[in-house]
Amino acid sequence: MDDPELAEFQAALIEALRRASSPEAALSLLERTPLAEWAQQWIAQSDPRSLETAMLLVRRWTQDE
Amino acid sequence: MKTHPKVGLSILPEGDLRVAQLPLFADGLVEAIEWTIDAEFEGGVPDWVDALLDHYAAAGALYAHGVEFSPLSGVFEARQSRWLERAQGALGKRPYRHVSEHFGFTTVPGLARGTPLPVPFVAGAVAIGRDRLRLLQEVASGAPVGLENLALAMNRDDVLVHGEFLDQLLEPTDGFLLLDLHNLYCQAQNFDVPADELVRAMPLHRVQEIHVSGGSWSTVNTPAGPRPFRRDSHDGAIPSDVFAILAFALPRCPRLEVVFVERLGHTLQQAGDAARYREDYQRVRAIVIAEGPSHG
Repeated sequence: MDDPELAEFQAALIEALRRASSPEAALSLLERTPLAEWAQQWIAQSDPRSLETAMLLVRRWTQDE
Repeated sequence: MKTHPKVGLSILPEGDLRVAQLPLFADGLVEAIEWTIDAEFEGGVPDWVDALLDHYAAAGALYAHGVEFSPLSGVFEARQSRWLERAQGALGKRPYRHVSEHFGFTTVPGLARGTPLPVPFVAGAVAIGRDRLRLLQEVASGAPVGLENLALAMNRDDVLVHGEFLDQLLEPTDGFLLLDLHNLYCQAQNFDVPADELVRAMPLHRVQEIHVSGGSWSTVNTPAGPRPFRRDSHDGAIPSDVFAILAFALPRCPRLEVVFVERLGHTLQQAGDAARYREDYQRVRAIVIAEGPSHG
């Protein structure tokens, strides 16, 4: 089974964490992305330290084969 | 005769970790081992690892850990299907007491093999996690399946509901909780929540395994200026607070089977690192013997 709403949110989050230059820029990108209300609420409550740490982690992710 | 939970080591192929661990094995202090099954998916497992896994499997003291399944990814990918096939092969080679994976997601289409990221506590995520645990259970050769609590949280509310989220995920498969105390310590430190409050918020009746490790502090720039952030990097000594959390948690986990000390390879490079690692292990062992639940 899949959850398209959850998948869409995760894809947008990863994209923002990979591309943004700062936690604030990542938040701004995500706020402009049409996502479910629960996702927007979660994003709005995100701690900048968590976002910055997540950015560091995601930039170490590798391209899948 | 009453027995305490087993105390053991998470093993990895890296040489510095092996050298640091050898005296503990030689002294008969390692009662169980945990093996990250992903490490054998590409082959090339050293002979000494195979021999160690066989030895502990024969003694009923071998535990499996997975890192790349990504149980909370919203899309089930072909990559995850291949991971399950490989896990089935690894878990079928020898008897494992149980198998655990991490809360969170490490893959989206096109990207994989990351450190787990958190997921909001919403009904869709619970349904996905339950489905993935059922799939893992199907390939686990009858071994119980469980999840490890996560270190990284996006906000304080996530921290406060993490235990309930885990309980809901684990309920349909009667899964166990792998309670990682350094992960819990990270959340307590980063979001200013008392660690004992977080321990009590976990589904302690599900805890079969505990992880103890060290980590590191990073400095993160925020609009309010630089602020510290605790990370679960498995590259340092065990903080004294984590020993205290261990002593607090142990008597509250009636199903606890085993406590593992974790450390990454290539992190024991400085003089004294290996000795401190072994001292930490002995201290964990002493606390488990003194405080752990007794099994008759």
